[in-house]
Amino acid sequence: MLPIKVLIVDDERDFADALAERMKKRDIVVDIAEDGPSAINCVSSKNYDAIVLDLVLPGMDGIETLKQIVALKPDLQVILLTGRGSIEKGVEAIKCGAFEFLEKPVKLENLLEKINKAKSKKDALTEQHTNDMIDEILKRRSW
Amino acid sequence: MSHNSDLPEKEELLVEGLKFSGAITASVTHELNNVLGTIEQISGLLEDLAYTLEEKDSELSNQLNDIAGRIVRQTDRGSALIKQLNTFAHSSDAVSAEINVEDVLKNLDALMARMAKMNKVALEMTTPDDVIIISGYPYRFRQIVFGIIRRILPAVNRESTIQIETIKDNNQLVLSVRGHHNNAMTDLPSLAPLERLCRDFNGLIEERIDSSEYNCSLIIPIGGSNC
Repeated sequence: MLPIKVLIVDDERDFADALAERMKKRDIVVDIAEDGPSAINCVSSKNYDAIVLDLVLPGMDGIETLKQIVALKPDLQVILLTGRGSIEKGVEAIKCGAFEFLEKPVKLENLLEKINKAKSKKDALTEQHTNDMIDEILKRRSW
Repeated sequence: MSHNSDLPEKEELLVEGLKFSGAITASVTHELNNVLGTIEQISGLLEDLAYTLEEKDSELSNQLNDIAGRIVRQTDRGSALIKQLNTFAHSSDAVSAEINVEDVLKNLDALMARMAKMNKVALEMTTPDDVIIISGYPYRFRQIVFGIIRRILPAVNRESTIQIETIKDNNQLVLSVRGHHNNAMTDLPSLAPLERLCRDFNGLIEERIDSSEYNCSLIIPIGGSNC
């Protein structure tokens, strides 16, 4: 089985490094981006199974970054992390396409559970879209 | 910053000052939460290390796990407090807002736990099943409830409980603060400042002190506010 690939987007470098180190020990492939534009670059050039995104980022904030990621790769699932958790922000994030919303400090077990679910959802969506495409092609060729 | 044209100039300056304090506190609590989040992940690295050492050196592994567990307990404690402080900081944001009374009591309960402990007193908050919403300045409502509890903290019996109970009575919020005392209620500070603050909510304070019990009721019409 291929390892899970995750992108952590957080300007708190020490936090991201420690989280990444723990994930790597669990055979997860991890990249880190410190801001929204770097995250968009990573998502454009690589395939991830899930994104762990801090809501509060310098410059382009988490919600804007989320919107751009969703526009770029609609199947990719984004888990938002924040220290300024509130129901309103969570609802806004879900409306904008976030898969889940977790408050910092986050327990690794909880996060890994969400990442696994995010990967399953992404895989299911990708499979569905592939099947839809095949059906479309077959229809066009009248098979 | 928004201009509160309904408020007198002095009051407006005061509110702007509170908003300034609130904004700084809210921002710093966010940063502190990030610090705790990082510490928690680093303690997680200790747990991972303990796991890898389990076979080779179980005693050291147990010690590392114990240390990591103690760190996490403290980060959880700090995080819960910071969340409450952040809520408190945001209470100064809007002069006119809907206030969930139960949320305010939970917030004050957490923030006053240390003060109560120092006075060897417990706080017991009781709220009804119904949600009670009043209108006004959330910061000021906290200030009034805090003021009532704080003025009797040193006067009630040690190892006793101050009971804070809210009920909805004929479209009024009645918040009562009760405690037992040993005739120590003679030199309580004046209620006048709190009564003045109550006017913002069209509310009043009724105080009754008998030989052994203190009872103070804050009565506020639900939905009524001058703010």
